[in-house]
Amino acid sequence: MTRIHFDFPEAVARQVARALVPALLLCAAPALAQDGGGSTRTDPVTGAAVGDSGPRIRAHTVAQTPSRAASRHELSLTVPVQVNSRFTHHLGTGLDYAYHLSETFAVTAGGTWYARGVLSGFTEGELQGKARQQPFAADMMLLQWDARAGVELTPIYGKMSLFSSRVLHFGFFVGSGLGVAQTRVQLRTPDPGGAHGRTFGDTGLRPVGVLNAGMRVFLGQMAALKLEVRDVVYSDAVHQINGCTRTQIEDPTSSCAQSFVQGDRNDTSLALDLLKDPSSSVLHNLSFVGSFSVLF
Amino acid sequence: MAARAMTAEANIMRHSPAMNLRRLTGRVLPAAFVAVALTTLPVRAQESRVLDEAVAAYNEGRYAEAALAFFNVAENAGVPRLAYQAEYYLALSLYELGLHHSALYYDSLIIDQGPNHPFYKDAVKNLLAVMEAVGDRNLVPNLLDREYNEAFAELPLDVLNRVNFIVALWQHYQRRPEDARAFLDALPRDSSSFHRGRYLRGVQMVQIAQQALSEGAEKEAEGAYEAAADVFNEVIRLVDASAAKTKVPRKKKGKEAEALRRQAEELTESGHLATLALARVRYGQGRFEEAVALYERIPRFSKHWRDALFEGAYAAFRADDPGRALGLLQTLHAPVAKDQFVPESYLLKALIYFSYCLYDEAKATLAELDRLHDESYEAISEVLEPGRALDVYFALMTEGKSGEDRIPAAVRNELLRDDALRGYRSYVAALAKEEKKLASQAKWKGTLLSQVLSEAVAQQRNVLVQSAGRGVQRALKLMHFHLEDVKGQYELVKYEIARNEKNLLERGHDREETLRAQSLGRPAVPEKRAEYWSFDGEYWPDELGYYRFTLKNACPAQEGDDGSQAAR
Repeated sequence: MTRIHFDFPEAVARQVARALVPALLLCAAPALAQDGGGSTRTDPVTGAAVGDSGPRIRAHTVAQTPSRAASRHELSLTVPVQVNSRFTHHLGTGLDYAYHLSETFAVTAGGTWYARGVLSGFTEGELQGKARQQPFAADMMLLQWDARAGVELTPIYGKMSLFSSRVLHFGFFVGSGLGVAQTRVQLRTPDPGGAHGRTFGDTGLRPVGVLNAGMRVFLGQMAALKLEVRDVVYSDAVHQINGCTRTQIEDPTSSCAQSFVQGDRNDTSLALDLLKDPSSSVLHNLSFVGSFSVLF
Repeated sequence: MAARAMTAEANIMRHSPAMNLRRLTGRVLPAAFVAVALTTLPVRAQESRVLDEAVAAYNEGRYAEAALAFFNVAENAGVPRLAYQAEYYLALSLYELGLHHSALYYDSLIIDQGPNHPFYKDAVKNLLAVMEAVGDRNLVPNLLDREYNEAFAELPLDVLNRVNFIVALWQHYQRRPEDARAFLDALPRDSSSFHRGRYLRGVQMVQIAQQALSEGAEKEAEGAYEAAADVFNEVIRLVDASAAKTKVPRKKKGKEAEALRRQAEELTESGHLATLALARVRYGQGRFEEAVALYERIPRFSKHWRDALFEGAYAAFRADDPGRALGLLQTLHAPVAKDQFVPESYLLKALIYFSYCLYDEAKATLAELDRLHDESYEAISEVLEPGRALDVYFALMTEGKSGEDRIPAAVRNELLRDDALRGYRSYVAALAKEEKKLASQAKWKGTLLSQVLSEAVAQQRNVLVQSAGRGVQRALKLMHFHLEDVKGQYELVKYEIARNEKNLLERGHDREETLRAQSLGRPAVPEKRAEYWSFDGEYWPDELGYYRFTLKNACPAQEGDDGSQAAR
């Protein structure tokens, strides 16, 4: 395990000097003594001259620390904000749970509800509004909610000193998990005059994979702040909208043809356009997630 | 003759103080009642009315006005009953005004009149409140010890128990152990002072053990040590069991909450003291590893942590764990713990290095000791020169300087740690506040009450400053003596280092070769809840107290040794 010391306000200088991750990973066994060296210098601890045989005394810290996370439950209120929002824009809130089996390993579960899952301003305004174009259906897929479970590893832990008095412990974690998500596509943008809002077509539940990495800063024994990057990965193939395939929508006798009509708006052709060229790649919904956690 | 403590059931005769004029008057008054009644009746009625008005003012919170009226009645009342009441209510009024010493002054006057004063027991009870308010550790205990009599048995039980402990502690300080023991044995188990009483009893047993050791009676000493250990363990168990009951939510206020908080603090203090004392007993018995474990139970940054670090280092060294000893000393010498008077700790550090033939490190440590020692020694020598008034010493303690005289911060901090001197400081500070309050009482300006109280406060302040000054002088002399002793040992160690270096050179021992063959590893890290960090000279507050050292051994290998002898 590697450990980091940060010390505000010298954090910047120390980060450049110490906190380059590859260099740290290469120094994964920092505490083994290194004899030899040959140069005459003064021992920083004893003040005595260090001869050819190298340091004669070494100081260590073996600190008894109260459990930060081990054997504890963590409940987090999360706010994910999509960052790869070329075609879509997501903003949500969620609840995550983790049980820390040890300081370095946890099992997790959680869910997010996307209060705002719409096409991006670029898509609505530039592509659809001006260029009369739209992305593939797969790229326009929106998340409504997701639920997932997984594991989390915290291989790096450290502490930082604030104003030379308060010590904050933190850890860098990585995690992965599997889950399901409810998806939909946006069929129509809102009218400029505001008379009609967005319309959506349901593209059903689909499995998701989650990868996340971030930092957890402990605020005492009971609370923590988390900042992470989360990637929700899912298949973007669109074969049905509102449970209807392209063939079913084109059949005037089926109920599918009517399922896209709402009042004076008929989104049938929009749905057919989206089902015309189904792609089968993988979508990444990349978010910055800020969380406040309670540990108990 | 050994004293006998009062319990609720005690009925022991004790010599009463001399009767005074008021008590005689009280006995005489009924017989002469008929003769004087006709002439004094109007005066008595008026005094009674004034007293009633004063009581009404007291009940309405107009304490200054009430105090003045009570004073006038007390001074001029022809009827003892009224005078008694006025004295007592005056003491209460003064206490409510925050004039604690003034209240004590009148409580003392009541107590001086003997147990026949109708408010004698109430005055005794008030003494405890005043003692707490001003932080006194001398005046009230001395008064209680001097005054103790059969009337005390009628005090409320919790008050009586506290008085018994205070008297026991005072007698312990006065080196009257048998008297103290009688009072300690009178403390019931459910009393709030029981744990402190048991701790003091343990201390007495340790003194018995040390006395037996000095006389060569080792078996008796061992028995006394074990008895003391049992007592200290009892106190620790008692404190642990009571901790939950005295927990008070931080936001809770009021007298009951304050009383519980005070009780909790006393319990914590007793627990720490008992742990420290038990560690010392184990050290005295040669059970060094147990002693180290006990010293490490003293919480970090607590009042007794410094002593635990220093003594724990000694115990670790004797337990052949130099890495732990050096680690404890590292905390003691950390910049955050600077300005501590611990010259002997540098000697210990030098001794550890010396025992591993690390002479450069030993000499560097001795150089540091010399620098610190000289500064303190010269400063103390200078201020101990004759011709200084006692209040100079008091100022040296409270401010670190007096005129041209100065003492280093480490010496001053050592004086500030002394409990007895803290009592004096606290009381003098309380008197200073009281002086200002007296001057600010507009209603009392020009009155005899103001004059009497101001003189009483000023006189008490002078007495306390003189007593404290004597105490500081004694403490400085002890420190001076201690430094001279350390200086002597310093010279010895320095000589031994030089001698050993010469011997090793003559034997052709190559220290560098011996050191090169060794490696420094990590100390053992417990599996659970322990984090390892290397130390590079940067002190982190959460790491203090957790340092460990690994060191090489530069001494020539003993016969049968395999040569790799790095210490952990």
